[in-house]
Amino acid sequence: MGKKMNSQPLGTFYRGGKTKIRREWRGLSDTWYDYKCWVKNWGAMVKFLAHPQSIKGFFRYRWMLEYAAAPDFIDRCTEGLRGTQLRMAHTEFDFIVTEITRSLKLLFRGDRNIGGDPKLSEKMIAFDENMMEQIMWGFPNLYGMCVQLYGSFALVALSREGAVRYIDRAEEFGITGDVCTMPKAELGLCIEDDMPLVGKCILHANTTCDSSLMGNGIEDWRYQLPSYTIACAERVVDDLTREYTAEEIRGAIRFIEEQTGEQWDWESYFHNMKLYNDETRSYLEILELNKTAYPQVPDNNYNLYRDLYYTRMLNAPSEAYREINRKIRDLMYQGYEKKALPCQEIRHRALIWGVQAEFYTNFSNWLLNCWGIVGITHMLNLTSTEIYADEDTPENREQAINDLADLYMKMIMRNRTEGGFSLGVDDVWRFCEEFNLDMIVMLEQMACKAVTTWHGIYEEEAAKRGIHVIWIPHALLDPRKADRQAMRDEVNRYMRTVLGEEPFDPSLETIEDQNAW
Amino acid sequence: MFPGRTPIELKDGEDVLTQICRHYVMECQCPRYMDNPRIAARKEYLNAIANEYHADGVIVQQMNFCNFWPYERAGMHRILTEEYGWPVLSVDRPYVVGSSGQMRTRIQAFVESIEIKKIQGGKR
Amino acid sequence: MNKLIKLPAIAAGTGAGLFLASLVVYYFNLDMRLIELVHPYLSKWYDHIERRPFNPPKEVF
Repeated sequence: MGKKMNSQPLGTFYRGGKTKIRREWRGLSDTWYDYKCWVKNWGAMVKFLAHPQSIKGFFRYRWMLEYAAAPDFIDRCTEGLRGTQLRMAHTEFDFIVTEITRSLKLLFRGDRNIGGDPKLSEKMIAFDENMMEQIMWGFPNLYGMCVQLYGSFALVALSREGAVRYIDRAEEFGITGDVCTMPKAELGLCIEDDMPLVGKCILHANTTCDSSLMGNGIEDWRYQLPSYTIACAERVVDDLTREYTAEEIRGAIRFIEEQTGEQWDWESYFHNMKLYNDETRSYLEILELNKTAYPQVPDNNYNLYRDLYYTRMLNAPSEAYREINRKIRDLMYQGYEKKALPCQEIRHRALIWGVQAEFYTNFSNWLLNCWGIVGITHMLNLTSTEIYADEDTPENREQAINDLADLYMKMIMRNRTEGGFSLGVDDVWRFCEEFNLDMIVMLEQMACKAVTTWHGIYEEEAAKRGIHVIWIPHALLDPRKADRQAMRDEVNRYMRTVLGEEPFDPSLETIEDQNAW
Repeated sequence: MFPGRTPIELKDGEDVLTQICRHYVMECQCPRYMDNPRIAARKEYLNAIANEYHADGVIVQQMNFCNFWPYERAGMHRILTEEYGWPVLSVDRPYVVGSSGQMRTRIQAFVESIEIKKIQGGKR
Repeated sequence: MNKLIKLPAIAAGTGAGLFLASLVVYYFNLDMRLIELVHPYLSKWYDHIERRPFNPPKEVF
């Protein structure tokens, strides 16, 4: 056991309980680095609890208990990694831990459920889950708080069973079983009265899909606040749809101004957009390097971080993302110069397509460690890479509204699933060619009507092109319908029977993690 | 008049197709029209229709796999029961005929419960 | 003089002890095992929290 990847059977660390028997020995240097990050993360968590409102929040909301398992989440996300891969993963995930603790602390400070500061709460705008927060760039004195994120999607990254209770509540309320588990979990959170209540008003959006949008109407029963819905056009490649969405953005800005008395600040908006453009350029560099024979920032590493900085859901300052992106780029080039690989051997370059149930499942990391399948990129990372107007001029002020419209139409998860055939299907083959991919790992969310309708088309087109497609059924936030082992078994079967390959680490084929976080 | 059965009144001076489209958009009671006033208006409309036809109860039904209807149905059930006091049967049904037996049983049970309430002299 | 040596020695010894203890906790995953142990008991706490009913707002309907 030690410095090399796959030098220890990682599957033997699971003993059927919630957690592993021990942490990895990764050689002296990497283990010491991992230890330091572990101390730092615990420090962030203890610092979070040092505030009275945070303690009240911890004991008020059931889902907060799962956040105690954050170190286990980090261990899953860094499983098997070494060298620059480990350091990049820690840079991203430790940042996520720090930012989540910071934004949770802010949230609880304004939370009316636990006697929070009403003046602070008045400076907050409650946001829909997964909704982009770039509109808040124009309101630097306000906070956009994604109140549903912490109790549903982020929760499920940490703990596989985190959202089960809320899904059941929504089904008891009358929502049918075929509806996507993500909006169900959000609704269940409201029904169960387990959601922080902050904000002067609420901004909804039609993200991710119609279910989420419909759920908002019922969730408003709990909020009892003025609300506005940014109903973006879903077909994003048409100029007319952008015009329509621009009107929605203007309406949202007017709504926030009316509700809060704050005025839109162009200087703040363009400052943040400039930094955002820098991040986009840095991301394009990463994509370029991933096209080579030595991809350095695969999906397992980057996916969640990219989700968060693309959407700005944690309302972290733009400068913070710039620093993280700089570190990742430096590590990326260091790894590239050494011709380091993200796994023992890259057997397959894959596109991970579909909405993810990846974080609690640790799926992308498992693909690397067990079968050498590198997720070169992911559907949710292939969102907008446009460079938007960032100089304050009269023409750019008009363009800025169109740019926001473009960004909001290309909201995470919705961009590819609802954006139309060209984005959801045609682009798959374009990316396979561009990134030189030989495999697609298709995460087939059972209740996602948008993507499942294209199942047959994906099969046919992949067969024409000689691309391997492995279908992975899952139910997003509900692990009972297709658990982690069922997902892994699909890959195991395909790799053994179709490709005739043997795993790098046979102990990872079947893992005793049915009860793990 | 029921949704889809109201006459389309055309006026001079405007494009016919636009008038027809506007009519369909404004008159439709499908839950895909989901701003709060439209959601509230649907419940009020349903209450008004049920009163007009002297209904004893309301059956709210949806086809499976529609993303809009589960939410509409769940909310509608609560509002019609708690705000307007209607006995409500709320069902979802698949496209297949094979489940007609189950549906029959549920509706029979619902009708019986309404009849029992009437016999006991209970208010609606 | 003895005090000048004794206090830093105690501090260093305590620090070294805590450091070694933290290494043991880290390597044997004792932090997560403790969370796993208390999780079912802490979960029961949340069952007793008073929850408000979920009703449609009167003014809309």
